[in-house]
Amino acid sequence: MTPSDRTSPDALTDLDGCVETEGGVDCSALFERLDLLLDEELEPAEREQLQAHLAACLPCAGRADFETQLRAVVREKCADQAPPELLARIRAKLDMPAS
Amino acid sequence: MSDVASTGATDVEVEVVDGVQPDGSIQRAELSDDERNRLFEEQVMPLADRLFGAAMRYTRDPVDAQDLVQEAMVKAYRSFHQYQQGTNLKAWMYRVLHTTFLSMYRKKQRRPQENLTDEWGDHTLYDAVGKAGSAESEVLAGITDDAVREALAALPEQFRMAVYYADVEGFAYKEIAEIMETPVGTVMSRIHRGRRGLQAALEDYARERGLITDGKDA
Repeated sequence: MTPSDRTSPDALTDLDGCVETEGGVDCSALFERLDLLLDEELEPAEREQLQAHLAACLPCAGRADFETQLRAVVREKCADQAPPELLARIRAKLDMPAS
Repeated sequence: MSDVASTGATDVEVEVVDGVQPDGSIQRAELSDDERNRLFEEQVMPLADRLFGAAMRYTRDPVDAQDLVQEAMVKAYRSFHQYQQGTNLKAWMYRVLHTTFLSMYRKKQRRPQENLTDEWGDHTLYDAVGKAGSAESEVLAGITDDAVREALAALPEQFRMAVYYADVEGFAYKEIAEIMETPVGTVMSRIHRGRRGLQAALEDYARERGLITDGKDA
């Protein structure tokens, strides 16, 4: 980890006292792969190992839950409606009748 | 070319047009004008709304975003014959949007390739909230539309769009790689670092609003 203003040296202290679960998954392993897990980009075997860790480790479960909710917030806040005239502009440009 | 001569055919029977299979898929790359219009209308036009959201993230300006979507739709229409029916239309269309953006805007900017540092480290909003002892739900509930949009807008383009495609559009890494014409490993790295940057900006916002109150100085 690169120390910097933003990176407090003890940023991961709450990973102390963490349980190690099947497949050698500890909290730092979970932390490293959490994005991939939540993005559903992992093979089933690894996914199951990480999920087993989440089921056994409260701090990691809290982290995963927060990340999931944050993604939902981002998704919800970025929903843009195209202005109504845009479709008309496109149709005019393509010479397509309005539907 | 099939010769569909009917004028503004009200109900073109599927069987009438050459190459259309009973399940509606098209085998021939070349479509009649009527058929192309119908498919474009059915399949591509409904994407315009979503494309506008992505265009807003690319251009960060509503007027430019409209121009970008319009131009991308025109390009898509012209190259619709290259789209293989049955493959991932949404990813194809976003790729058209991406390349259209590059040709319309990036040339003008010509800024040095955004060099993405690790200034955000591994720090997460979750850790900041936890250290401050703030309520996670309150922090999440206190994040406004503008806060998210501005935090995203402040990210360098490649990070911004990778995060947007993953978190908002829900594309798989492989699809984002296709859209942005970049290796999957690069996509992963951009998403990861982009999210860190996004969270750092949201943390600043939450501190300014008093949603996170302790502080590094506590």
